[in-house]
Amino acid sequence: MSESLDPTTFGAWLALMSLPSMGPRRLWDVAALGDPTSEWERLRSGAAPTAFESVAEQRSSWRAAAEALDAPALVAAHSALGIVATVHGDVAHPSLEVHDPHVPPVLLWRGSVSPPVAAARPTVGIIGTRRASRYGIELAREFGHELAARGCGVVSGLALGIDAAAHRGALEVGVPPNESGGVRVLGVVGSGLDVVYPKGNRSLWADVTAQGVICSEYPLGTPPTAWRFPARNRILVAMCDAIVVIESHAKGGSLITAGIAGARGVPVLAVPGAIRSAGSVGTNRLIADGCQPCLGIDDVLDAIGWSSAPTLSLAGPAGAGALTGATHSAAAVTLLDELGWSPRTVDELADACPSLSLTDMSVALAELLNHGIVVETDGRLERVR
Amino acid sequence: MLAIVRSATLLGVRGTPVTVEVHVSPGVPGFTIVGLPDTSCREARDRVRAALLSTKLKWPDQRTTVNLAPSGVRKVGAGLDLAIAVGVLVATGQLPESALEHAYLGELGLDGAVRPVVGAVPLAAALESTELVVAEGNAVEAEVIGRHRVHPVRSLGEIVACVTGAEPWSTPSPVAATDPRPASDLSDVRGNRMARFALEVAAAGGHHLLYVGPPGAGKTMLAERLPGILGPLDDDDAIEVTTVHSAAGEPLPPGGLIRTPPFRSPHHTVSHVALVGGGSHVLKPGEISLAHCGVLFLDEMGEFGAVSLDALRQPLESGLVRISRAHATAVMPASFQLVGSMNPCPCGFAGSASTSCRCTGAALGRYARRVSGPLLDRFDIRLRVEPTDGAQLLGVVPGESSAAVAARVVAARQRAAARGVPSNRMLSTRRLDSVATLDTPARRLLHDAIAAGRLSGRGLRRIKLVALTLDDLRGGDGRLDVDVIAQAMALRADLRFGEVGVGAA
Repeated sequence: MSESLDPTTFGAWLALMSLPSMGPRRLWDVAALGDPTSEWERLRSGAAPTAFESVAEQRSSWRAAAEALDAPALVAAHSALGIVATVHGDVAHPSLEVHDPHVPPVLLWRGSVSPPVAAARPTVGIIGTRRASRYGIELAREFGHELAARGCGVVSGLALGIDAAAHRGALEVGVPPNESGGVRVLGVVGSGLDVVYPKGNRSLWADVTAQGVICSEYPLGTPPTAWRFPARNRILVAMCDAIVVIESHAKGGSLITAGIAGARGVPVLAVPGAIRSAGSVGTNRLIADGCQPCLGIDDVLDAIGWSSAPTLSLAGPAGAGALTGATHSAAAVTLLDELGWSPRTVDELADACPSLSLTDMSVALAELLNHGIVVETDGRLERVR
Repeated sequence: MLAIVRSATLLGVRGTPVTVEVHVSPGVPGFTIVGLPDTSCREARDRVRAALLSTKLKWPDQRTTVNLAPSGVRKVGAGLDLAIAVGVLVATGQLPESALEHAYLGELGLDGAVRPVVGAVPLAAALESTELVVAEGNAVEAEVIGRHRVHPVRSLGEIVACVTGAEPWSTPSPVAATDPRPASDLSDVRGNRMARFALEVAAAGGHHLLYVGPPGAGKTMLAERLPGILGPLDDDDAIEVTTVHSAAGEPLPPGGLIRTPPFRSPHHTVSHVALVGGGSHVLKPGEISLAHCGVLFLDEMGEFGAVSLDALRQPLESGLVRISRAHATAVMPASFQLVGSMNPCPCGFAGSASTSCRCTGAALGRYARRVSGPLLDRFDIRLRVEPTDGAQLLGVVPGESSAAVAARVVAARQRAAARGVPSNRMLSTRRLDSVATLDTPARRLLHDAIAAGRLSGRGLRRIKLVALTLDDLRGGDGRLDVDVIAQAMALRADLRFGEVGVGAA
C-alpha cells in the first residue's frame, strides 16, 4: 500500500465491515462521503448514518453489534497477521475508476511484500472448474508458470482444481530477484484471510501468502459462505487485464466470472476442449458465443499486448515439450491414435486396439507414461500433449 | 464305579480332546457336571436322562458326578451328550467296559436319537482313538481325516446293541466325491481383454485384485468367475479348508472333503466379528478364515466399514488371525486372496467421460478415507473398468472358456510351488530378489517410471511380484524383461482417490 492508512481510519473501516448487513454498496456510500471514522461513531451511538438511509430497527441492531466490536482490537488482530488495507483511490487498489460498482471501497491484503499491492502488471486471471481433468490441470499449471516467468501477475481464486494448479504453476517460478513491489501470485478469496478454504488447500494458501499475496473484502474470521464466492469473482476480474477460462462445466461459476469480465470489457479467452469432455462444455460454449479461443500461451500474451515479451526464466515446466515431436514406436502411435484426447481405461484401450497384443500395448503405454505424453489419474489414461 | 470316555470339544477351528469321567457311588441320588461346562453342556443332564429312559435303560438312583477334563478348557455345546450317556451306562454296569475303547461325538435327543454335531472334522482330528462313534449325519465329515474307523449310529439303543455284540456296527455308505464347478464361465465375458487377463494373472499368482469402475462395468461378473479358473486344492489344503468350514457349521460337499478353493462374498453390512471371526460365546471362524486357501470377494468395497476393512490388513500380511477373548484365545488360518470391487466415488461416476459425478468434495473425502492407502497398497493388481457398450457386446466373439484359462493358471502355479510357496503372493522380498532378475532394459524402464514419479519403493516390489507371475504364465525362467514389467505396470492402476486436483497438479 503506497499511502498508509492511519490506525483510527483502519479501525473504523474494519468495524464497519464487521457490522451485519453491511455490504459493499453501503460501504461505498461511506467511502464516497470520505469520513469512515465519524460514520462509525454515528452508527455506534445508534444515530442515523449520514451516508445512506437506514431504518430504526436496523440502527438498533447495529448498535448492539457495535458494542461488541472493538476497533483498536480489530486493528491489532489484523496488523498481527501483517494484514494491510487499501481504500479506493490508492494506487494499489484495483481499478482506478471512481464509481466502479464492482470493486469494494476497502480491500484487505495479506502476503509476502509490504507494502504489497502494486502487482506486477499486467495481470492475467486463470480460472476454471474445481473438478478439472488432468488436461485442464496441466494447462493451468503451464499457463501459470509461463505467465509468471514472463513477469505477469497470475490471479486466481485459491479453489481446488484449475485455481490451485494455476497458483502452483506460478509459484514454481519463485520470487524473482531485483523485483520490487511486483507480486506474481495473487489469490482472491471469499472468506476472512485467516479462514483457509477449502481445507485441502492449506499448504497452497500458505505458499501463496509467503511468495505472493492474498486479498479479501471480508474481515478476519468471516466464514466461506456460498454467496461470497460469486462476489469475490468481481474483485478478481477488476484486478485482471485478461481472463483465461481453462475448463468449465456447463453451469460453472467460471462462466459467471467470464460474464462479469465481458461486461467490464476485460478480454476473456477460453481454452477449447473435446466436445465430449464434461469439463470443456462451458468453455466450448463460450467460444461458440464469440469468446476468443485460447490456443496457447501466445494468445494470452497477445491479449495483454505482450506478444514479444521476453521470458525471464528459461526453465519451462518440468518435462514440457521434452518429447513433443519425438518418434514413437508403431504400437505407441496406434495407442495414441486410439486414445485421442479423452480419458480411457487400460481395459478400454485394449479392447479398442485388437491388433495390439497386451504385451505390446503395455510396453508402448509404459513408454508414453514415462515420457509424460500420457498421464494416469485413478486408473484412467489421458493424453496431455 | 468309574467310567472314562473319550470325546472332544471345539475351540475356534481346532478340536480339543476331552476326557469324560463318570463316577457313580452310593449316596444321596444326584447328578453333577463339573469341569467348566457352558450352559448347553450343563443341560446335558436332562437330555441324557430322558434319552436313557426313552431307550428303556436305567438312570442311576445314586450319586453321579461327571468331570470334563481338562478342566481349564470351556466345553461348549451338546456334543458331549453321547459320551456322558455312555459313561453313565458303563459306570452303572449297563454296558461292558469294552464300550470305552471307542470315542464318542454326538448330541442326544430326548427319544434317544443321536444327532450330528458342528465341527466333526476338527473334533475327529483331535481324537487319538481309532474307533469313532458319531451320528449318522456326521459320518462323512468324520471320515475326512481318514485316521479312524467311523461307526455311524442313529440312536443310543443302536450303540447298546452294537457294543454288546447283538448287532454289527454299520459302516458309512461311500459317497462319490463330486467336483462342483461354478456355473458361470469366463466365456460369458465379452471384450474386457485386460480385465480378463488381470483375473488370470491374479489366479496364477494368488495376487490380491481390485476392480474399480462405475456401476454396470462388469466388476462383479468378472470377480465371480475367479473360482472357475483356480485349480483344485491339494490334499493338505483341502483338509484344512474342510476343517474350517466344518468348525463353522458350513455345509460340506457330498464327499465331505472340500476340493475347490472357497469363494466367500460377504455383504457389505457384515459385522466386524463375522468378517474376522470371534464371538463372545463360541470363537467361530469369520469370513476371512472361511476364505482360507480361496478367495474373499468384497463387492462394493467402499461401502464396508472402515474398521472392518482395516482389520483385514494384519491377516493379509500373516495369513492367520488371532482372536483373543477373556476366556480363550484361538488362532485361525486366514490366508486368502482378496478380490475387491468398488466404485470410484459414492455415485460411481467420478472421472467418467459420459456421466458427470454428483459427489461433493466432502463425500469423496469420506469415501477415500474408508478405503485407506495401506489397504489399497496391498492390491498387487488394480484395474479400472468401464461399461462396454451394447453394440460392442454383440460383435465380439465369446472369450476363452474358464477351462482353457485354468489350464494355464495351474501350470503357472506349479512353477510357483517349485519355489516352495503355494503362490507368488507369499514370496518374501528376499526370495523374490533371488528368483527374479531384471534385465537391463527392464531396469531402465523401472528407473524411468520412478524418475517420473509413477512408482514408489513399495510399488516396485509389487510390480516385480506380478511380473514374476506373468513370467510363470509364459513359461519363463525368472528373467524379467520389459514385456512382463510393462504389463505388470499396466495392471497396477495408480489410485489415489480424492487427491485429484487438490493443490499440486
